Amino acid sequence: MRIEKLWLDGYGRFSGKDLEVAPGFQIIVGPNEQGKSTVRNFIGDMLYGQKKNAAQADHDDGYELRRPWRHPDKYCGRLLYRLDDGREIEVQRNFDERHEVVRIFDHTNNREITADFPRLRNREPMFAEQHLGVPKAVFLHTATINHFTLENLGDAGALSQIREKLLSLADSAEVAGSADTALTVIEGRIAQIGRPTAKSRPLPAARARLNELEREKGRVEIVCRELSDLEYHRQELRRALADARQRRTTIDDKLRVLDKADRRKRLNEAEALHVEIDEVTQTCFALSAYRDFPLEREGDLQRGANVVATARTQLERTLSERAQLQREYELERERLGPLADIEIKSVPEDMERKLVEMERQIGETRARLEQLQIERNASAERHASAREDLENLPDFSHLADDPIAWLTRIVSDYRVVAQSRDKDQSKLERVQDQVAAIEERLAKPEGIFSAFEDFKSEAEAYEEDQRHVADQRMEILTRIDRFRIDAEEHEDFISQMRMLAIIVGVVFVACLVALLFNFDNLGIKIALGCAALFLLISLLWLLTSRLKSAEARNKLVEAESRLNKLDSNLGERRERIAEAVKRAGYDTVRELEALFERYEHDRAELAILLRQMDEQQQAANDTIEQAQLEFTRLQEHFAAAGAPIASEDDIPVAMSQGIARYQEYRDAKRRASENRDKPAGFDSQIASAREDLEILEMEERDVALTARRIMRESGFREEATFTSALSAVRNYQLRCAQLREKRGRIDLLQEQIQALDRQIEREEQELEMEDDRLKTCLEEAGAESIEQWRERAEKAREYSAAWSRRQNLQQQLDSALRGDDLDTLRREARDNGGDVVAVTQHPGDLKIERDLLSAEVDDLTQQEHELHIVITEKQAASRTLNEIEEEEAELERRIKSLDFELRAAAYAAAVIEEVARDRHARIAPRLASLASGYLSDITGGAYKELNISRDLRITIRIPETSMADEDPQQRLSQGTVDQVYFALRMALIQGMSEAGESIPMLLDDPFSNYDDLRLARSMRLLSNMAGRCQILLFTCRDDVVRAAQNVNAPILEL
Amino acid sequence: MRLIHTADLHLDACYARAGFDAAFGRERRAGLRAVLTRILQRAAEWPADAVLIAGDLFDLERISRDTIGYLQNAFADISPVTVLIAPGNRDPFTSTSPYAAETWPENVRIFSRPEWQQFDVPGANLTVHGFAFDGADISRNPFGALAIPQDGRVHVAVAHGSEMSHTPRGKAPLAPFAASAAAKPGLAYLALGHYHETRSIDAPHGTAMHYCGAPEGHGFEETGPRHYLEVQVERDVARVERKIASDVVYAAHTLDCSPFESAQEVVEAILDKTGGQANRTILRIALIGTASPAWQGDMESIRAQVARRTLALDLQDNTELLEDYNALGREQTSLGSFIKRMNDELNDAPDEDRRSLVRRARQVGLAAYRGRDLPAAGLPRED
Repeated sequence: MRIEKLWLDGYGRFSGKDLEVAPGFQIIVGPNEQGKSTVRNFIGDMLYGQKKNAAQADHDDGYELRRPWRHPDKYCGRLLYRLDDGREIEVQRNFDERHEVVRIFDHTNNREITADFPRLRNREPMFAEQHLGVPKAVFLHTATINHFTLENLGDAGALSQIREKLLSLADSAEVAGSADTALTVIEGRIAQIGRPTAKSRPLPAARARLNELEREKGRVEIVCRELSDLEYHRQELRRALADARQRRTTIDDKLRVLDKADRRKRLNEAEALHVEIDEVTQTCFALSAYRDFPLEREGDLQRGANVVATARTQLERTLSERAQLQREYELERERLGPLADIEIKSVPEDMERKLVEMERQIGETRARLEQLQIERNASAERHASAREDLENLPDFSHLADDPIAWLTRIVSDYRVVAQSRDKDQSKLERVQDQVAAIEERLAKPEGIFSAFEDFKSEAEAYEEDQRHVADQRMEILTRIDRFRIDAEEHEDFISQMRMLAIIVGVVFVACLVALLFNFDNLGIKIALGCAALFLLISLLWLLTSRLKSAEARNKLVEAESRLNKLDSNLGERRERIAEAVKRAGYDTVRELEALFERYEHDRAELAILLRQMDEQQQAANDTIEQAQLEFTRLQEHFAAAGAPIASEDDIPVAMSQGIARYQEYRDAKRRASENRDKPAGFDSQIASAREDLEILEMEERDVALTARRIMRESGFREEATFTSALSAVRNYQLRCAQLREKRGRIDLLQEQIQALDRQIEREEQELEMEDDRLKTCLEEAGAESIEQWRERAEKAREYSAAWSRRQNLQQQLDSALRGDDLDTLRREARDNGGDVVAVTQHPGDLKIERDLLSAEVDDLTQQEHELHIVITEKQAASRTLNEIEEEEAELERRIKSLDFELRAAAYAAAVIEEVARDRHARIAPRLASLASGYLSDITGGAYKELNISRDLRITIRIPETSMADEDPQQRLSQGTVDQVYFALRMALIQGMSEAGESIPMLLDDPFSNYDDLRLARSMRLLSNMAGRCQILLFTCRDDVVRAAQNVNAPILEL
Repeated sequence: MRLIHTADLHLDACYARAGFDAAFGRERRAGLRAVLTRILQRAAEWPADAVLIAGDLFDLERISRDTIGYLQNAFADISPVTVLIAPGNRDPFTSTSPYAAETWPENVRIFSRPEWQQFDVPGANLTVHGFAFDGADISRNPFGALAIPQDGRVHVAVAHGSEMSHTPRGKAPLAPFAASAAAKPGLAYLALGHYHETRSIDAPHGTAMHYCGAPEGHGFEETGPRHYLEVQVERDVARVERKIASDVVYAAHTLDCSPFESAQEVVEAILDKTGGQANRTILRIALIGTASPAWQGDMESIRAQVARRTLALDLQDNTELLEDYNALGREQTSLGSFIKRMNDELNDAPDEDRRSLVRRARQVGLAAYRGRDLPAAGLPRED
């Protein structure tokens, strides 16, 4: 598409402004605020409208900003453009929302084509999208390159930023919005929802809660079943309770019936008792004189008489007993003889205890003495053993203060050196591997390029030859065409002349025949002459044409021959190049050149690596030598520590051995130190124990002498036969006990006689006192003798019996009445009258039964109450199934929703990754190829290679080096970075244009950081590109205008 | 003769499938009790001669001790008004049922057998016939076997079952019967339960036959106001009047959001759907159509605003972003390729589940390309 003319009838600052633009490279110049951006926006709005997006009919934010300043109601314009197929299209728009309209006309076919296009959801016809092949966003963000974007570049990570922008444009046609960014956003979303491994995110948390609820539900179901059982049990209890209560009520009824019968019976009993009481009362009145007789003293009287008689009998018996004992006493004294008067002395008890204690102490002291002697000998042996061990172990005290630390340190030192050696060795191997890899990589190109002395020169010469041959070929082909046309023209002329000659010949013959018949006719003669002349001329022309035709054919053959020869001129060089291309498996020389560059690069890299390998070899040798020295030193140290090592592998074992030896050494040292002074200590303890023993033995001897003296004094002559005083004492005690037993019988009889003397005296006093008491009792009853007292007592007993009977009857009456009075019972008997239902059971049984039932009721009530509490507690302790299931359902809904979101996000991410990868891989090679060319043109070949990987990662080959640099801001100027970006943007647009209609580029001063030379080259590049697509460059800069003038670009001033 | 007829309260029902949180179930169960309390209070104040409960008073599987206690107290409170209960399939009279196991107030009469029984209401010239389900399905169907004595008393019946000519779609028939077989000479009124919608059944012999419906909805399939019936029988002719039972209504609506330009418009349109009674509405609203970017990001705010004004809210956001996915799919970009792939998959999706997933993946991917936050239910918003 090439825009031809713009009519800004009413748009922003413009009213009635017409602009005609060149179909190729057009400069539109104007100072700031003169409408360059307005024109650019006008083009976009005319093509794609002003709606917010494809779905919304609302206008975008710029709608009001672009409303005409002068005549706001006249908000419209026209745009004329020509498509690549030659059709001329005019767009007419009225932007005003009240009269909004868009119409498209095909001037080539002279018809309106608005209806030919489908419309977006915002009602915009899709003519521009169909003509250009790109939607609005792509056109606005990709085909328009403005200076603002570029100014942000050139700082750290420039190529990364360019890549980001490129990705965004390639991925979403927006300045921000790459697939990478989208994937990051989705990853964030997935993490927010919660992967299965997460713990606190909503989805796994909900799942965990659901599991908890499942468990809770299980528990509650168990509780429900238990509650159901408890309820059942409770119902059973209630039924039993009701039954017990019912039975108790029945018994109560029976008891009431029995009570009624009992009351009637009691009334009858009471009436009888009442009569009997009256009779007994009269008897009492008759005997009332004996009412106060002391009948209660009857017992005393009888007892007094008995006591007196008994006391007399007892006194006589005691006197007889004393006489008998006196006789026995005298008999026993006679039997014992002289021993009866000897005094028995006892050995004091504490003296015996003292002897026992001292004997025990002496024994202990002797045992202690023996133990000390044994320990002393053992200690002396341990000391000798430790000294012997020390002599057999290395003397670590001369090696280091802390031998373990010392061993650790020397091993660590050695390990550092060994690691350094290994590291160098590893580095060396790595470099060797790299060298091998590069050498392997070089093998194939080596075979290809070894055939050339200087492939680069030859390839350049080949290219030069090709260009030259192409020029010559073009020239020869032009000439061949010309010769072929000449030959064909001559052949056409010959055929025409031949026809003319035949006609003229016929006319000549006809004239000649006519002259034969009219020889004198002058006219015929003239005609004949003319015919002859024409015939001659025709023949001459025919001959000439044949000659020219032959000459053209010859030249044609010669040119074709030269053409053939031209191809063969490339000859050997082409064959060699072609052979090299074929061997490399490529299709083009360009690819072979790239291979050669890589080959050169690899060779340079190989040289560097070989140099590095030599250096590394040297370093490795040094470290190996150093490690050997260190190892020798280590061997010496370990030998001194008693753990010799032969190789590096022995070091850990030797280390352990050395530490073990040191620990043995330390242990022996400790044992020697501990046992060195112990025998002397034991000797002093032994001496002290001996002294104690001597003192104890002396004390024991003193006590023993005292005890033996007492025994001798007590007539125990046998004590001399006992070597142990304690044994003699114990034997003496036994002898004393036997003697005491014999003398005890005499003492006992003597004591019994004395006791009987005291008893006789006491019994005589008691007899006298009881006599006095009996006399007093008779006087109190007015009796003079016991017989008289008994007569009077008989009368008094009669009175008392009658009175007791009366009281008994009264009690029976009270019992029969049971708290009621007789009148009440008589009244009730009168009121109830009638019969009483017979109850066969005994009231006592019924009461017992009732009490049992009451107890059962109480028990059941208690059980039911306890059950009620248990049920209530169980219910209160857990939630209901409803609540759990409702929460479960809520959680399941939540999990389903979150899981859906998770799957949707994961699926979106997978598809985005796939489509982005495909698209990047598809556009990267072409983009790299185009951008490399553009960059090379702009920088004059200084930078000719931009590599773009499949993920659109950009690297640039730095001139004069073989390095591909991803982070070139250290080497590239900001201008160059701008140029890289510009080249890529141009390539992106060009790449899109290649697929279909050429897309016009709208450039808004992208050259702010360009030097004059690169600006001039850029202008040349744009001028050259103008053949492929239209370029509208908006600028306010004079240097840009001047550079554009140099390439003859038309300038349009606003 | 004055009668109150209700049924299908389903006390202690589980609301797991309602689509709300656990608190909703607690509130609704309490709400159902309140409804029954109001009906019983009306019976006491009117005063009714009897309250007829035609089955499914509670869900036997879920009935709690608390609810049993509540029923015992509530029935006792309206004594001497007689309460007659004909157990249904959800509260059958079994040996373990509270009907059998618990002690009920004097004024409560519970039919206990799957055959017609009768109770004379004390102090009224009224005999009530009824039967009980003895399991989830009745062991024998007693409809048609009712014998009405010509004794000069007013005879009414209460039962749980399915009148076959009025069976709602999807409702399982229980104790099926025909109105002509159930109606008997001398039977003034047959109080029915099981269908949750209020229905009047044409029947011969002058028998008035009515389903009172559930007095409060149990889900979004039972929308709108719910009733109990007040019945007056004079000279064997029953006059039936519907009375609104519950303050709470379920409402389910779909709202096309395409025309709305702001979140406030959406809120107002949703509230309009409740007919000005948002505060007593349990609302399920499905938003469809296209959502303008101007308010699509405010969905949580919309949800919060509506939820504040309704009793409970289940807002289902099925809106699509206002995007021309076909236009996006034509772009020569990765985004274009992504959208095109998604569009193709949507066209080829074998079922609605797959379509939903792909549609959501398309939204997620597009939002990610544009660096836009796409809210999701259950996810905290990152501001």
